[in-house]
Amino acid sequence: MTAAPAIVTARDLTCTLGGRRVLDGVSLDVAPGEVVVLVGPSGAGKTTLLRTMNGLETIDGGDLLVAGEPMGYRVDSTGARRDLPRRILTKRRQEIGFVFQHFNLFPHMTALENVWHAPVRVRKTPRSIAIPQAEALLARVGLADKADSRPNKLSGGQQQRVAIARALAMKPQLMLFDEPTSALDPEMVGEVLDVMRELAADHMTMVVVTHEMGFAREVADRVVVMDAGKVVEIAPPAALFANPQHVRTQAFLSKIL
Amino acid sequence: MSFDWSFFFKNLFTPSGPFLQGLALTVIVSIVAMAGALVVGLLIALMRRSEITPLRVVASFYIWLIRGTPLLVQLVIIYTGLAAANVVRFQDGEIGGILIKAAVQAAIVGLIINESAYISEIIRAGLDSVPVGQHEAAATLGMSGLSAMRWIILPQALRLMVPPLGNSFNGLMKSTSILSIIGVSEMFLVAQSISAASFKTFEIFAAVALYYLALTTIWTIIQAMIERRLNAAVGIDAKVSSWQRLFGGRRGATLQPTSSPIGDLV
Ligand SMILES: Nc1ncnc2c1ncn2[C@@H]1O[C@H](COP(=O)(O)OP(=O)(O)OP(=O)(O)O)[C@@H](O)[C@H]1O
Ligand SMILES: [Mg+2]
Repeated sequence: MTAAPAIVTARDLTCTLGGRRVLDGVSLDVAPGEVVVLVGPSGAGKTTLLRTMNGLETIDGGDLLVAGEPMGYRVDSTGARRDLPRRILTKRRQEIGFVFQHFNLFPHMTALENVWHAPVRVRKTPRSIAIPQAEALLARVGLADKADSRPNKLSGGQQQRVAIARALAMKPQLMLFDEPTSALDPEMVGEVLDVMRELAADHMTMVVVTHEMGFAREVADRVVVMDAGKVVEIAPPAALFANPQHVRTQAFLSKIL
Repeated sequence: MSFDWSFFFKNLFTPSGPFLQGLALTVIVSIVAMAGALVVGLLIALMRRSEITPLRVVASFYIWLIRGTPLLVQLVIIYTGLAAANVVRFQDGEIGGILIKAAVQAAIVGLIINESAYISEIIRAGLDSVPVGQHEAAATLGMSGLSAMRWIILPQALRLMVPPLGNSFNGLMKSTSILSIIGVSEMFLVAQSISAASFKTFEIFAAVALYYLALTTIWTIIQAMIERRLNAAVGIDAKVSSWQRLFGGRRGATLQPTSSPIGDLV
């Protein structure tokens, strides 16, 4: 894993929101093809860390490189940190898929339109190519028969699978998931995790915030435990669950396992 | 009571040429002004939401100024005041071979300016009502702000904006009667001259009232059709019947968030 350059490199990054230091010196590497699961108590900063990785939040200290380039900021010739021009940020986001807890599908479009929209409007892919690709993606997440349904006619699990297909349609190098199953009824969690499991098997690089410890144990290469804006422990799931090093990891695991 | 029924029915069912022209002018001015006000209103709404402070300030000032003064005063300033001060003097002109009187031009400009201030607030409220998650979803797919606005935000906001915008148009059609003040020979002014010549004020204005009522009723039916379409586009089959829109129903209150204050002027 050390040979290939990391897709995400975070060094001592800090992020302040509403006057609160929400990320307080986070360091983390994500290698190509790796699945990293972020866990930790509510308010630990998991969502915020994920959002910095595609510039939905901007860091105010440290370094955050995504695919080798600073994300959400740039460093000018004097070494000062400046906001990344919006045009460039927009371009870079095309390489990163994001899956939200509440799906955020476009309600005025069918499932199929949701998936082909960005390739057509953003990448200018001809519809004759983008639509068959979108159909193939819907088939891949098991929703070929729902292509013409609007989001409000789909169950939560189906909506989340469409949302994953929508993100994949941009052929991202990195997929970010923020609690993709937390808003689902229990019986729908499995179908979404199955799709994510297949993605991992296809060597998609993924950073996943989740409380599904079964998924973490089975799919994650490494589990990152966060608390109060800091990373408290990083370890492969087997080691972490069997033998947590940090007291706060122990406390967290004892609560949810 | 003396009510000349035959005069009333004559004017209602066989209106004179000038009256029909007045009616046509009322409709055309309303439509052109509404179209213009939508464009200007969208612009002002986007300025108010801009990250650039001077744009926000200018837009807020515009809305404050226009909403804080009567349409009547605005019209007189635009048509008579600006000419008297040698700023702008509207001239009769032709577009596509059709003569457009100076007063009509001033009327359209005045209505656009007035209505756009109200409309911009409706549009802004509509845009604000689209959840932040929609903006974020568009952003994470690499859509530019403009593209997200065009394809994601506006289409969703439209559904919520149409009921209040429709009410605005309704008010606008009625407020065209105020244009008589600057000598635009729309329906109201024509009726006034008929009334002056015949002294049958009640009869002629009763007929005029029915014509306004017909206009607003037709529009209400069209509006209900548009609303049904837009609701269907997001998979909501809310039944907004024309009947409900006209006479109110249980859903009426939620579907009519704002009424245009210029409608109240008339
Ligand atoms: N925009 C904001 N302004 C102010 N504070 C914020 C903002 N966003 C997040 N926070 C705060 O930052 C902290 C971390 O938030 P974050 O959402 O990243 O936590 P999390 O680990 O994802 O928690 P959860 O498991 O509840 O989703 C919380 O205390 C939250 O209240
Ligand atoms: Mg969170």
